[in-house]
Amino acid sequence: MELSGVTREVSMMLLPEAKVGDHVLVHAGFAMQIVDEKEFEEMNALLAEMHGAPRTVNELGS
Amino acid sequence: MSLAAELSRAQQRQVAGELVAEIGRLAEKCGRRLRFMEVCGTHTVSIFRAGIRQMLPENVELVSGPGCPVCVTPDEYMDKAIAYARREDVIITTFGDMLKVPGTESSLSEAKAAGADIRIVYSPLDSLQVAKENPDKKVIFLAVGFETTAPTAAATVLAAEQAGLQNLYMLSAQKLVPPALRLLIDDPEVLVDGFILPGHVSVVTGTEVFRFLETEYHIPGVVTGFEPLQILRSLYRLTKQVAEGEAKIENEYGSVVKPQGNPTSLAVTSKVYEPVAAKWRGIGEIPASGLKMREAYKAYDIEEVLPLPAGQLPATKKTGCRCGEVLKGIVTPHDCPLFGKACVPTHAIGPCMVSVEGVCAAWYKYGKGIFSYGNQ
Amino acid sequence: MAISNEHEYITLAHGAGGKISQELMEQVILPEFGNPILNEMHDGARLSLSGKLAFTTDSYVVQPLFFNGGNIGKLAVCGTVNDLAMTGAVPRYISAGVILEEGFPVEDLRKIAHTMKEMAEEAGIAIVTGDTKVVERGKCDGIYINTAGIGELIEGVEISPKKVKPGMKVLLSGFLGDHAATILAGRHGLEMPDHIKTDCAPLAGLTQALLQAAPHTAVLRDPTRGGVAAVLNEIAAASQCGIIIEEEDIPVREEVQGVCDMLGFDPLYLANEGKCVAFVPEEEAGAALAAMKQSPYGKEARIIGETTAQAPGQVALRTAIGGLRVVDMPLGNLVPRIC
Repeated sequence: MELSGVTREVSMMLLPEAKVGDHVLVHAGFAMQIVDEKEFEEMNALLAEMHGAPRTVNELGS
Repeated sequence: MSLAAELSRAQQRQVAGELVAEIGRLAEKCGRRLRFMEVCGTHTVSIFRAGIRQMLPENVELVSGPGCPVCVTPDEYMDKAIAYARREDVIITTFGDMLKVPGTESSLSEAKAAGADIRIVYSPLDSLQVAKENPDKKVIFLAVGFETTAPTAAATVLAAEQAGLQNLYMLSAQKLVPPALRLLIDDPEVLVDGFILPGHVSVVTGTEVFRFLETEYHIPGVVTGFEPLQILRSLYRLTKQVAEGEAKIENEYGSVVKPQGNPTSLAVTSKVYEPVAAKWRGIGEIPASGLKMREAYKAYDIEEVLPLPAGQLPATKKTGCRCGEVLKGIVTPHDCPLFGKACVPTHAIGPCMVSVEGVCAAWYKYGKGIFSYGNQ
Repeated sequence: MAISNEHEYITLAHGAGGKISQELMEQVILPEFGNPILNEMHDGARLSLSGKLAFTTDSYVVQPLFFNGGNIGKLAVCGTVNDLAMTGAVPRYISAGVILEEGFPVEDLRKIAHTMKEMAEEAGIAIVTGDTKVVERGKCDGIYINTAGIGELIEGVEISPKKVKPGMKVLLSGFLGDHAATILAGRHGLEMPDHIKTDCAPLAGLTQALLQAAPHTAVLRDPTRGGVAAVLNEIAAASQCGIIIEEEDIPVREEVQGVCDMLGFDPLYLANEGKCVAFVPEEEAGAALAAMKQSPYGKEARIIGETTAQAPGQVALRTAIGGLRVVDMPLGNLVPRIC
């Protein structure tokens, strides 16, 4: 398992369904869940809701 | 990749500003002060670190509930751990934050300084190696935590069984969150408009265990992540629900929290442990809120194998500590007469101050000075 | 190698001041540190210095002794050189007092001495006097080193926390936490990529360039134990200014942040051994930053915040989302034996 360039051994006992290459959430030395990237979806959905119209994070001023 | 890493500083501040403005607008509609409670020590710390309280409008208040497993561990557990630690034939393995938790008379840290063999581990699995290397000693892991950590202790027991290790034990004091939530809501002194539901507990349990908030109590709850924008999103959802008279369980941490949780973890925990009534420090006994090792695994339960004679444990004593009320969110740390005076992180009287995720420790570290800056 | 085989490990005799001590001095210490003053082998060094002086001392008990990018000797020289540099002085001479454990490998001592010499050369200083003692096995952890240093204060430079006023900029010379992360990773068995190593370095060149470019610099400090958080809190308290730093402007390597996340640390509280914090008036901040960046040890320098008249004595951090949180004084010893 690698986090920000740091490697550490982690047990897969609690997450047998994980495959190599999956991003996983780790706690106390165990992989606990596969991370399913939904951040942008969730944020866009919320922004749309707030303004009553479709809006995405990409439209924010930079 | 996290959202925060993808957005520029200006973008993050813009989104945060918009969320805070909306929260304010919705809270106004409610016409009263709203109070949301988080029940996860990591949330306590994340909220402080993000500087969120400073940004929220006056009419939205955040309080901390009993979210830190170390904080709700009773004196008796620490006294037992210390008594075992003092034995010549015992090695204690534990997470780091247990070391300074005060028992009735002493702490593991003091026992260690006096020569007890106490080792800090990052994972309960590390205890297996210690047990292998020290076959003539009893290796006891201090299994404290909520639903997130329980499966890791249970998995360690199963691994020990597989490896044929006969000298690995657990001293268990895990707790379950939903029964504590029930008790809080039933308590007339506790007034909460909604819950920021724990992120990592939900990874294991799934979201359905919190459905009773909706069906039995009509109180909203939002499963929340730990990034500042995720927390603000959850606060927005909670405020919106209250403003619209709704009470649903929502999930704002979908990337790792699934409705069914992690079935393997639940199965592993259930194989080794069963629910039992448990004592929560400052709160008292809550039915079916703790875990006890099943009959089939009692060979790994140190309290079965080597019960401590009653005389070995010190009698409980009273201090002025108001940890109990602080843990229920009824009072803030400032209301405890010992806070910041007799009870400080370097010399803590109650576990709320000692644990890195404890409410009092967080208030002490982050709360001081926040009001003198005002809103900038 | 002239020290005979039976002396591959330090024995009590090496500290006794007799013939065996002499051998250690002549065959291990002098070849590395040798300079005209030390070679005179008086009980004390006779020096020539001018003007006002700065004087400092520190002891080094780091564990482990050898780590990626350095060893206890490197820390011992750079630490004292840097303390002198931070007072606005040009470091000139240091002493080295060494306490060895019986059984310590002579080869390790040689390596440490060699590193000390290299650092002394780079920093432009001489190790002019010292002492060696040996204690019984188990009575010390391999080796402890104390260095004391003397430097000449640069004329016209007046450094004091009391000179810090509202409206000044806070500069930081580079990445935070590299040293502590290297040590912690070693202790906890975390594999780190090779480029993550201690940042231990002599900063006298950097500070001198900075003071030339920004002569009204109020304060220089190196954030060692307690990290940047300790330094900022001390300055805020001494100057009775408030300090606000920007979370997004604080440079931390991804891998170091990873170690912190894994072990529960905050980079603001971690020890650094080759970094400098400077409080500079706004009009000189640009020149100060440019001067830092010219130095090999300041390439990643940033302006991380400013001083204010509000909330005197307090340090706050503006978070990525625009919130404010207090950065308190660190409590106790977060990471024991870090330097």
